[in-house]
Amino acid sequence: MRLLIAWRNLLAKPVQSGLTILIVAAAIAMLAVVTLLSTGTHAGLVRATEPFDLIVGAKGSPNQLVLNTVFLKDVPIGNVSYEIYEKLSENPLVDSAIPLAFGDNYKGYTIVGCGSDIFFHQPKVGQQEWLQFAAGRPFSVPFEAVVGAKAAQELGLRLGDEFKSAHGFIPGGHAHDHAYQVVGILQPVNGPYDQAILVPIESIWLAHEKHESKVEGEAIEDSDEHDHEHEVTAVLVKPKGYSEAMRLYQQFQQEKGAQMIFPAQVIVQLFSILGQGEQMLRSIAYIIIVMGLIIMALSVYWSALGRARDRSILRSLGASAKDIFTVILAESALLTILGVALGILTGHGIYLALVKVMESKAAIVLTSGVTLEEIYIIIGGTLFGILAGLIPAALTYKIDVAKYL
Amino acid sequence: MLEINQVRKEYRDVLQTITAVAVDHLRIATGEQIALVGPSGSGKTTLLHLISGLLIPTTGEIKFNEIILSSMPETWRDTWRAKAVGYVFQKLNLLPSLRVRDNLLVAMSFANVIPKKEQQQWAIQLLDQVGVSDKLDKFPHQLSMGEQQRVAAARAVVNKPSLILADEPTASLDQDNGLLVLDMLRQFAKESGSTLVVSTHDRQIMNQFERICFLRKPSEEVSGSATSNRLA
Ligand SMILES: Nc1ncnc2c1ncn2[C@@H]1O[C@H](COP(=O)(O)OP(=O)(O)O)[C@@H](O)[C@H]1O
Ligand SMILES: [Mg+2]
Repeated sequence: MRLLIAWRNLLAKPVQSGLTILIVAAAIAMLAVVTLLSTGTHAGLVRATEPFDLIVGAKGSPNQLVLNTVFLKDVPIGNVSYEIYEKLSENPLVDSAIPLAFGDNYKGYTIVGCGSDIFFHQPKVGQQEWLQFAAGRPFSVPFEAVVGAKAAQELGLRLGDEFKSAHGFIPGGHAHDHAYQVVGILQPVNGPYDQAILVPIESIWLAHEKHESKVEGEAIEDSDEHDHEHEVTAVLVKPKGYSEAMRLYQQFQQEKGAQMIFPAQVIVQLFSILGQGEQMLRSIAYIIIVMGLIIMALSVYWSALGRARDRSILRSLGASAKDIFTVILAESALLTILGVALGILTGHGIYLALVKVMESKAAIVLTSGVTLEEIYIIIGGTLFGILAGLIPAALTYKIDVAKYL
Repeated sequence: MLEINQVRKEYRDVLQTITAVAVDHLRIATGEQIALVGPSGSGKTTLLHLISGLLIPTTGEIKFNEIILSSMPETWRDTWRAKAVGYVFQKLNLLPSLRVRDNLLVAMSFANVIPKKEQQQWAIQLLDQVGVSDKLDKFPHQLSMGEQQRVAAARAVVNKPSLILADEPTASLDQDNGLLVLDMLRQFAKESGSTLVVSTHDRQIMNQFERICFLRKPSEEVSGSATSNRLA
């Protein structure tokens, strides 16, 4: 009954109540989006780097190396010699080393030349392989291709389909002659590699030799003899363990032709840059919340002042001062709860829309769902709303009852 | 038993002290029906507020069944008012934001006299008795003044109070409706053995009562005798 009275009191001033709810909702929505986005991107970025313990690539910006190896964005810094890969794979500290070569695309989807052992790659020892097949099988000879889940879906590629790669990283580069045949389609990995097309690294070499040979007017057919001339863009290195990783890293500092990086570390640096913007948005959201709650307290206070007679009538019917206090507090609580609920819903709506954009633009799959921080926001927002409601309640619950009757 | 002894209610401000009501002695037996009669400004409303515990006297005491109301904590008086007092205000005082039905339910919710399960049924039954059964879900402002007064009367008896107060039920509205409401209250009080105190300055109503208490403007008494009220 007290709730009904509070509710009716709010309905009696629909514009004022509605605006108050909207302000609280806007602040909560903003906070929710910032929180979801930061948790989501963190989780998405971390998940994307998870399969990449260590990356070896040409010297230059570590960010760029991560960007093009892990996220398949940006152009590679350059290549490193095949020898480096061979040395790594023989190193006793290394569990596995997988060569990667970038340089071609098909309709904008990155073609990743790689060793076939990529299909045995386990991000964590003893766990499932990173790449799982939805259909087909791994490639076994050059010019067979295994297509990432998203690439397959968006390009409409099916088992047995053929396509011709193009040189470069953007669609529209001139086409190579040799066609690839799709022999496998992967299950989603929820990361950038969903948009990749994996081919045997030899295919890349062959395609490029042919291409070069055409330009130079030579004919080079025997690729095996030219192994020492082959290059790789990056090597995905899985060390035997953590201490091995550190030793490997130290060893590699002397290497002149290449750099070794921990992608996770690079990502952490990225987080701290993102974190600054995030912190600012968060502060703004908190300021809006405080303002929203002040406005709510004032709104409840004013409307309570305007209803002194109603409260006197309630007292005349036997309501105690405490009951009146409860009713006024319930008004604030209702406003806050509605505002918070609306804000969380809106926040999730906006976030889901952003996720869609992020997935197509950045190839990072963001997590969705309720985060722990969001639960704090819900509880905190409601608590502070009720706390703010204490002010008008305390200011107005005591009245000269008889005066208004 | 309702007992009023040497009660004065004064309002003080910087310039003056207004005595709103002054009553030397008044005893009303349980089940008795009495008319409070006096001109406008004689303190009828103030006295009814005092009896209902909404006001406490500046001096003197009001006893209900041997309990001095002003000596009890405010929360006790609230609960007592909810359970034992039914008050038809001169201004009716229906809650404007609540529907007719909810105006009765809210009164029941503070009293807890009628079991929860029966409250809806009881509200409908009472509203039917006062002839507004077709307006249950209307808001008070959608009703005529007469209908509003009948709802107020229904609300006053909804918790089966042992003390019913009615402030000038025939004053502001049409006489017939006022008389109807008064009849209903008298009937209810008679059947339930409740005490009924009705304020009025209407001769016709006055004459219905066996017992009348006259109030005079206390300010007229300032320099006069201490006896301001006479019992008829
Ligand atoms: N809250 C108050 N403050 C000051 N004076 C009051 C107050 N309430 C009533 N009075 C005064 O007390 C007197 C009696 O008022 P009231 O009880 O309303 O009389 P009645 O109901 O018989 O007309 C009036 O003179 C009125 O002005
Ligand atoms: Mg009066």
